[in-house]
Amino acid sequence: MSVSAQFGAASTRRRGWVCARWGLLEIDAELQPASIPQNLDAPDKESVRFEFTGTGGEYFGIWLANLVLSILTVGIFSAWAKVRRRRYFLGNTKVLGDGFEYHATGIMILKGRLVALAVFAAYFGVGLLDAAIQAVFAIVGIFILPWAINRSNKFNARMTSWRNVRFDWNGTYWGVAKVTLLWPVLAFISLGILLPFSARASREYTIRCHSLGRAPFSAAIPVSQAYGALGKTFLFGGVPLALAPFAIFLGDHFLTFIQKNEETILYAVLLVSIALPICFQMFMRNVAINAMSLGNMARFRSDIHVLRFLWIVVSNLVVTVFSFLLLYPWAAVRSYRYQASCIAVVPLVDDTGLVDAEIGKVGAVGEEYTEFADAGFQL
Amino acid sequence: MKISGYLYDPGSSARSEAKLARRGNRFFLTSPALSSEREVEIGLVADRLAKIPQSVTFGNGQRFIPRYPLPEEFLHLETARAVRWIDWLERATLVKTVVLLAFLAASVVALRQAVPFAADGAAALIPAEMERAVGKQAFREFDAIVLEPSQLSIERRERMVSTANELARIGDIDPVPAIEFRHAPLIGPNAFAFPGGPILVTDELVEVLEGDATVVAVIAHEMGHVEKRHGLRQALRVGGILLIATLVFGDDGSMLEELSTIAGSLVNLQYSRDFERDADSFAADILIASGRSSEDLATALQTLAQECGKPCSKESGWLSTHPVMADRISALQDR
Repeated sequence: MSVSAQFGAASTRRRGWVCARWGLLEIDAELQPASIPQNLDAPDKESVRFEFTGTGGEYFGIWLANLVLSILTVGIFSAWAKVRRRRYFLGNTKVLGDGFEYHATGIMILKGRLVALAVFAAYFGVGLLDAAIQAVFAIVGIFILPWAINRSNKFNARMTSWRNVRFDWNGTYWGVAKVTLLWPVLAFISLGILLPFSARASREYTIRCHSLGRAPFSAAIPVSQAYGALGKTFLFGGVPLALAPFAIFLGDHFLTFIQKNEETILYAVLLVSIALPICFQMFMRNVAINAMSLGNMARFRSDIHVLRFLWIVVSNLVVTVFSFLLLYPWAAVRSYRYQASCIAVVPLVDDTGLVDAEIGKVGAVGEEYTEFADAGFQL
Repeated sequence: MKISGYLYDPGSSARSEAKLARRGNRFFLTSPALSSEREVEIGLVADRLAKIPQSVTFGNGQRFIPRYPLPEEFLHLETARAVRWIDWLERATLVKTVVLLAFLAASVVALRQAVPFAADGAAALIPAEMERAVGKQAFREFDAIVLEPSQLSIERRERMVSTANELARIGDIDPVPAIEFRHAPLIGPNAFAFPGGPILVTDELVEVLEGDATVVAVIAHEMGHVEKRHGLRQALRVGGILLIATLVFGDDGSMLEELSTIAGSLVNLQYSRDFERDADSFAADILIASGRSSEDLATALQTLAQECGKPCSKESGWLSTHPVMADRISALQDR
């Protein structure tokens, strides 16, 4: 495969990496030959890394102009700003030499937002009149959520294309309800023991529901690897957290200790509570993407280095805060570029067989609803 | 002028190398797959954006994706002039950056003035009964989770409540907010005003302050929060900032979201410091009007500052919800 050669050297730096970001969808994985059919197992030199060709300086101009236009239009322009930002990031994300296209228009996003805004205004308006009716609204909202997530993912997938072929999402109400509502509740009730099952279910589901044209993505994540991700997360910084429950046996001494070191403990807990979920997500991303394939056409790899990524996140945050947001565009590009470079594709056949499944219209309502509800469905 | 790229059939990744050429206002496609040049009808052209290649959709549904952004000669293909203007604005130069940043700074300053104004306007529209219902509910939940019954003697509590009621009458506070005493080992010495009442006073505060007069002075301060609807106004201000941040930043990644929360809480702190000063001066007014002294509140603050130690004596009050203690105490002593 001609395209593979140019990436050969770079991709051997570390074995097995594939992290992707297509719209709301984030896909991750780590290569485990045992779990992959023999015919899909290609040598390393065949893998081609994703590449991000955008720059911080370029994005700074786009970010600043759109920020100012959004303020000038009391937020209305932010729908168009969103489209431009997404086009910039997706368009500069190159796989096998070609970037992704994002086809949504500002009007679509704005309509979705207005509907979402109306729903939330109605929700709070009802709350001012009667708390009981509002509670009913909230319960109804939970039942609407899987539908909204389906709409959102469908919209984002259909609006994104690569080599003229659009992505698609074929999730079902119950499938989404299971991975977004049922599994997280089970993980919570089991005090996190079932968390790897929950994380595995949602990643597998997200991957399997996506397709590029008619070619479906698939993934079978070994349970052992999901638990491995959790184990590694604990080794990374969770040891003190794991010991914390035992501190209760110290009784009163424990309470005095906490009171004396209140501030230090608060900062430590804050840091750990931000870092640990990131660690787990990144380990799971490696596991999931390495288990992912696209029909019989391609396999993926992910080798995101969790410590390095944490360093990028933390240093980005510091730089952004101390530059009063001005360096935010550089930080965003830096983080995105690293993540893109951690995903590689292993093409198994020529891609000319990709055909779009349907050319249909999908509204943006679901997408904005989930954004307002802060329920972005991410791997 | 010819630009090279790939020609795709509708909905398929099957492609062939092709060149798009312009002659006058007509466009022609050449490709190794085509025996001869073919005229094409331009349908949709993707908006200009940085160096992203702009795809061109033809009338027959075929799409052409060039290797590079379209050159100047093709630009008139774009339908909207606004898009070209936005694209120009996005291409940063020193002058443009300075102008845009100046505008940004000006809007931040303007928003800081506008948000309290708008939030107070909104607060005036919210009926007092609703505020009280919210405050009562919040107190009930807080009570069930964190608080324990007071261990102070009933007589002492009643004494302080009756003094507080007298102050409320003098301060013209109607209805008089309930005063609730609670044992709260998890919170320590503190007092809270829930929107529209009640006012919560911890046993620990009473123990630290010793004298009833100082406790009553603190209650007077909390009454200031209730009477001037600080809780509600604060919530509306923070809500307003978050609404603006959501509208402006919207969906710009998770990090900016966190940053706007940080910025929001800093502004929050600023407003809350203003409210503390406001409540201090309200307390001083009713204390003096009832024949007491604003010194009582100054003494209470001083005692609390000593109890709290290092964090309260820090010079910078920027990260503190309450203004620097020394400033507040001297302001009260000057009355």
